[in-house]
Amino acid sequence: MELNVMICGVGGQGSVRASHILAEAAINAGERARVGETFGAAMRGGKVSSHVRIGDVYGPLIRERSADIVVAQEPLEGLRIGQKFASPQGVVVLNPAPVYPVDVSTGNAEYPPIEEIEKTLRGLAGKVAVIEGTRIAGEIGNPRSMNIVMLGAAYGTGLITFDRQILLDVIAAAFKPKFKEMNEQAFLAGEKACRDVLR
Amino acid sequence: MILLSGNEAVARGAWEGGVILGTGYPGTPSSEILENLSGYSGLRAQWCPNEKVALEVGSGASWAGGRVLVTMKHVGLNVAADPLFTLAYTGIRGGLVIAVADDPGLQSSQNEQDSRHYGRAARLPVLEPSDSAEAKEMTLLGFRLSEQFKIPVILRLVTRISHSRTPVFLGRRSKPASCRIVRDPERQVMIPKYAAVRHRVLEEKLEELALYAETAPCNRVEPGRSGEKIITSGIAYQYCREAAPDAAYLKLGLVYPLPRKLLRKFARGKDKPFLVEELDPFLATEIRAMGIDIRSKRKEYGLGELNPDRVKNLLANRAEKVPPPSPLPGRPPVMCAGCPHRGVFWVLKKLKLFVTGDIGCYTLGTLPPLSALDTCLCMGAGVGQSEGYRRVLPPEEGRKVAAVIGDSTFLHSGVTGLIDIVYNGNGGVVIILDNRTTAMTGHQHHPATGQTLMEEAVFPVSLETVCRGVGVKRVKVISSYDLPALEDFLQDSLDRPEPSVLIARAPCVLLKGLKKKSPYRVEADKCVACGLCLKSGCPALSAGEDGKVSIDPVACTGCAVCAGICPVSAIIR
Repeated sequence: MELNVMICGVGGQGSVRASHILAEAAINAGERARVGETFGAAMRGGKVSSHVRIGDVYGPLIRERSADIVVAQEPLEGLRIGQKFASPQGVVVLNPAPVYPVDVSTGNAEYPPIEEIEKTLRGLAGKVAVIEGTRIAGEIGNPRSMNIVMLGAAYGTGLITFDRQILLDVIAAAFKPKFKEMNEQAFLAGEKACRDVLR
Repeated sequence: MILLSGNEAVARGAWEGGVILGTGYPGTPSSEILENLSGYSGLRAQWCPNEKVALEVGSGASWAGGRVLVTMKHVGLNVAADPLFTLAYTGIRGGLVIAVADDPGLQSSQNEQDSRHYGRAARLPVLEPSDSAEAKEMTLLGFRLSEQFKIPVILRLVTRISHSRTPVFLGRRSKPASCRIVRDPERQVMIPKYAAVRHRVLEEKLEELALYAETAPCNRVEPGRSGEKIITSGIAYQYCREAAPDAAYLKLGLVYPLPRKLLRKFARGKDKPFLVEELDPFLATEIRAMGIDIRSKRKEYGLGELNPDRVKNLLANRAEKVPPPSPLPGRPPVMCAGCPHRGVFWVLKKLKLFVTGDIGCYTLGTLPPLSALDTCLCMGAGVGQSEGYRRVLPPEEGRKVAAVIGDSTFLHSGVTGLIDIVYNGNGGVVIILDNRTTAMTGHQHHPATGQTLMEEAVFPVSLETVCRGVGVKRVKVISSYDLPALEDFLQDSLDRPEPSVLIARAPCVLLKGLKKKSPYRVEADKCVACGLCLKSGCPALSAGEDGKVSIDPVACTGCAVCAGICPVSAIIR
């Protein structure tokens, strides 16, 4: 098995955390795994992407156009990463909630319309699943669990073949016990949303 | 087996190797090594004011017999270079490994220097791991080699090793050595007479190390099927294995000194081996100097970070073009909402000052919309630079020059510049942006925070007392959020013959335990859509279709800088 998952978003959204969870679950499932992280200089607000590679691979970086799953926690970052890394057979799971860069909020640059982003990605990847991660996380009662919703959505693509419970156990151990139930809900909601979209 | 980052693996290796002291100065991508080491028992890990001090502390502990790990980023090794070169002469007693993390691709650095050159320049062995498992093993090997050859060992990491997570098997800790005073002036006092002898000893050690390299398990040959031959090391090895899976490999773990016979043997035959390395042609130059014929990358591949796609092209000797800029809006890192630096830069911009700076979150003040920082050379540099500008500029120009520096960087290497301003200077103002932490690298303590890496409460160095102590008479502490007071003090400082220090003080908004104030909001009917507040670059502010501004109540920390800027008082709590 070789599975390449790219998780991208904006600093503070928890994409690095999500990539650690996925890789650790893969190890617990008896697979080999490697994670390459790319995060900018400042604590918050920069672009972040994490390469998760599962299976018999060498380096920590995914090759261009060969990510089986791109988990886009933010649409512009999904486009940026998807253009370079999405495999023509792969799936992009896209949270359509934008986080505007300063250039956009100050009116010096234009944020591409979400429909355009989706359309471009559809031309590049095998499938695009728009998963309203931010909305779903908010409904569950913790907007910060968006990264777990999107991780659930990645699982919902069916491309991650190990048992769901292994992932849920790693998630439970990664956060305080009081978040266990909420995170499980978030994961399952994301998984279901993705299965529904891709069906 | 667990997943560890390269940095975590180095810390683990140091602990397993019986290290009793870890020292360093924070710097991306190396900072997490010491942070992780501090979590292990039976040792001490500590931040020092700078890398030079860290290596000096390390050398003392090593001469007393303890195993020591010293950590820094690549540019930090420049700061520590003075003790480094002579420490090669003296040698060590307890194993001493210097973990230095380079940053190919400039994720978070001011240059792309290749620290392997320090091996040749200072005459020291350099180990280079290619993943976390090797990072741990080579840390352990580093301590063994260090003691066997009585020499400091450089463990050279890169961002992609430090910040990637790969599987590692864990081992047990070996017993630390006991320490004592050993008087040995011929080895430890580098007066010319003794140093001349030690120089010869050092060159002999290098010859022995080169012999060791011939059979060292960390330099290994991997047979191939395609007839293609590749010599490589470090992270480049991983990319090569993907780009050319059937090639034969000579993978070098000890990248200085090199195994001449092994290289010659591997290169024999009609097909010349391809040498693949990230950044400078360091190995290529060394190997060619041995008279061994190799192929190597085109020049353009020496810029920036390699990756599997680039290595594929590199091996095919394909010319590489600079990619066209992306039409998508960028997302550069920004000063956080509520960042105490923002207001200070607002004032500096308003006064149209030329601002000399250095390395920290505040370097982001150079980006639009603030565009209020004009130089960044190296840590501490802005203080001395401001004096240099004023020294040669006509007075009416020189008065516009002000220096900014952080609290941690002031103690790192800014204070010496300030001493020079007092000693040789001609007035001017130095602004210490005191956010009570080393923010950019992830909130490390420093001598003025009152805490150590081991979380002991200690005496906090008083920046104002230090400034007064070196002879600055005008020293003022003002809240970073009090824009009118900052402006008044600066206005009053620019034309004075004597130097002034403004300590703009407010803790970093991301510091743990800091209480958030209630957020501000915009009264829509008052907002005139002038966009002035947006020029502060606060990410909590955004303009709607009509140009009217709104504030994200989750992001807003209630710092009130925008409320102070708004000309129509539309921003209220």
